[in-house]
Amino acid sequence: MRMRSDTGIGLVLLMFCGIMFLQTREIPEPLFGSAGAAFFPTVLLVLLTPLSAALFLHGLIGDLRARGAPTVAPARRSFGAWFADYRNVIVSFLLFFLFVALLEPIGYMLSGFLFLFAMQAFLGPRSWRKMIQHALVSAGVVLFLWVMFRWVLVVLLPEGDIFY
Amino acid sequence: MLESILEAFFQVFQFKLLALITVGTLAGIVAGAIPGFTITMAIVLTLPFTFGMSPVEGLSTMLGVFVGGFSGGLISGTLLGIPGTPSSVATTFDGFPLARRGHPGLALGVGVWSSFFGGLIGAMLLMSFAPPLALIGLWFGPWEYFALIVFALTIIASLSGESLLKGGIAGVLGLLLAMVGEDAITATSRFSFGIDDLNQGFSILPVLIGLFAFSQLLSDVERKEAAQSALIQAEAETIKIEHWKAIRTIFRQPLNLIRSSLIGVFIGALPAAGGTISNVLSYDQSKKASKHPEKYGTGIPDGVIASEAANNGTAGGALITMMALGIPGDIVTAIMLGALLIHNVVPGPTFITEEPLLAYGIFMAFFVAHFVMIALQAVGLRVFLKITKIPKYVLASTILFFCAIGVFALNNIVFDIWVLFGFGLLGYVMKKFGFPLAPMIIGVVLGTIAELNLNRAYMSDPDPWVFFTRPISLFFLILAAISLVFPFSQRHRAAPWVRFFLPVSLVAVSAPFWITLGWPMAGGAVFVAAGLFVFWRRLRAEGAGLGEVTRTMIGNGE
Repeated sequence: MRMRSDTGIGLVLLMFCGIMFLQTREIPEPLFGSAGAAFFPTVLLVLLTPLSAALFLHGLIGDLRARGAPTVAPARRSFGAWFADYRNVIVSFLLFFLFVALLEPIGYMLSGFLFLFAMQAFLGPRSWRKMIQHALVSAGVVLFLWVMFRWVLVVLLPEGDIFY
Repeated sequence: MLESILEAFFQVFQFKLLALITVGTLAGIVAGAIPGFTITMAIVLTLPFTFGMSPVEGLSTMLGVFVGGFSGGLISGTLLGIPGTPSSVATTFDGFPLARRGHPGLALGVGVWSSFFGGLIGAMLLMSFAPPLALIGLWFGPWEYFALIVFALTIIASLSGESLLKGGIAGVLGLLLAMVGEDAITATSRFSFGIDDLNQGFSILPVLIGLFAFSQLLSDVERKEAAQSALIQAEAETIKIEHWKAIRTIFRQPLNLIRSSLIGVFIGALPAAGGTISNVLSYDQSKKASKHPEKYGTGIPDGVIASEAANNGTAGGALITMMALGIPGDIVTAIMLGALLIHNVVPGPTFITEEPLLAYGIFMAFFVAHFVMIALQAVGLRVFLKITKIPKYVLASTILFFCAIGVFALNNIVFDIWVLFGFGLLGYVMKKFGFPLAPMIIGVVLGTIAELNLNRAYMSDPDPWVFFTRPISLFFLILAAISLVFPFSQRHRAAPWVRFFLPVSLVAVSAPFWITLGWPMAGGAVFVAAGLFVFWRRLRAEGAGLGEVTRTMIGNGE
């Protein structure tokens, strides 16, 4: 029997509540006359725990009903098929991750240009003409925002060790 | 008051502020016209630009986006039948058929001008009712404030969509996120897990942008074909708005316009509702009141007027609650509240008296934004439509990059971009598992204020019964309970208990008036009488005789 997503999420949330309850015990005792820093989070956890339990039970009841129902179980998808469905999103997250990781070493200009170009090159059509267009758009956006933030809004942007 | 209005007038009518309102309105119209690009996202993306501005400049820009967004949503709704924002869903019911019948200019004209008039009615009510409401707010102690926030948090129930359970979980998770870092009373650090940057808690902005914009943009580019397509493929070159015909059409039905605008303002003022509800509710009421309800949905201007006047009126209503009481009427004003907090301005009951220039400046900017909106819509419709032809992958990449740089500008630390990344991932996963994100955002925005007032109330008097013995606090707690049950009553209209919901609510609301004693008791009597009257009307409408009505009311003697 495959577990429904609600059952799994309910379980994860219950574990989260447990960890957070333990964390609230680490918070120092309240000062005289104050409710203390742990009071409101505890109230919230007291609310979240039954909600999480309800989600877990809701999912579990669904699982049991699905097991009893005479329907054909949906085919199990391979990892490859799952990856194909979410490839654009996974690569976009990965590119954004790399952009943030490189922001301080190589600076706003270079990391920004590389991120924008890589995103467009990956998600958009691939031809030499399009690649030139993507490069021009990336450079234009990076420069435009730099001028906007640096000169119009007077906000400093990250300077890298290698490039501005 | 007049002096403050005059000062605010001169403050707003300066070139820089007018330019900012114009840019904001333009951005709002473009954002509203892009399907899937909500007003909320547009407001969130405007936030980073407002850091370097004064509070009145920042809020004026955001109000421009707010007003422009509501009116921009009708463009794609009318031309393609795809609502640009959830607030313009009902516009498509008649706007799209009207455009398809060969009258796109009239459909757009009626929509734009209805937005304008609805917004003006909202602005006038905002200027009239916010100051007296704020005077009542001066009686507020921490108990009243906390009860008010509890009422505001009930918005979670109506924002939860299909799953109230998941909405509730998202809302409480949002409140818990606001607990990370030092608490406001004792400055004790919590839930930082040894990470120094977390001692100050999460900045609101990266959390908001991550949850809302980041996750939405990635959803838009999931499929390669969809990512490479333009947002709108309609022909825009031949469209010309028929202004005079549209105005004449609207003025022929003043009742529809005023009723729809008032519904919008009322819904906007309630913390449990917003433009998403008001446009549909107003359309429904317009249809019910019409002499030819069968024509609704076939492409008549009446439906467009009802929807568009209501959604722009909602903006004024939401601002009334935000300005007078410091609580958000909807998700957009929740973000505006966050923007004011970033500028160290705390809206609340004393806001209008303590910051009259800023408060009236905001009123005035809201008023002016409607004139700017109508001018921009009249001139630039074709240009707006060309922006929507940019492929999604280019827009998504550019906006993601802009989000990152915008949140960096907040505190000049890269950690905020990591927060954006983390919450983008969380938001995307939550959406995939059917969790609504809006309740979480409401929780994040209101969490700190709720804790602060609860702690203040506890320090003044640890007895929890004080919340129920102070009339205003009790009033808001009763409203919160009603607001929580309201979505259930809407979902189960046929259930027998629903006919008792409104009368019981009216009688329950009378309770705080009775414990006040003195002249307010007359108000309590009015609510009780109204409740009994509604109950009697409902039973009579169901065909029950007077004898049966009486027997039902006194329990049939069983």
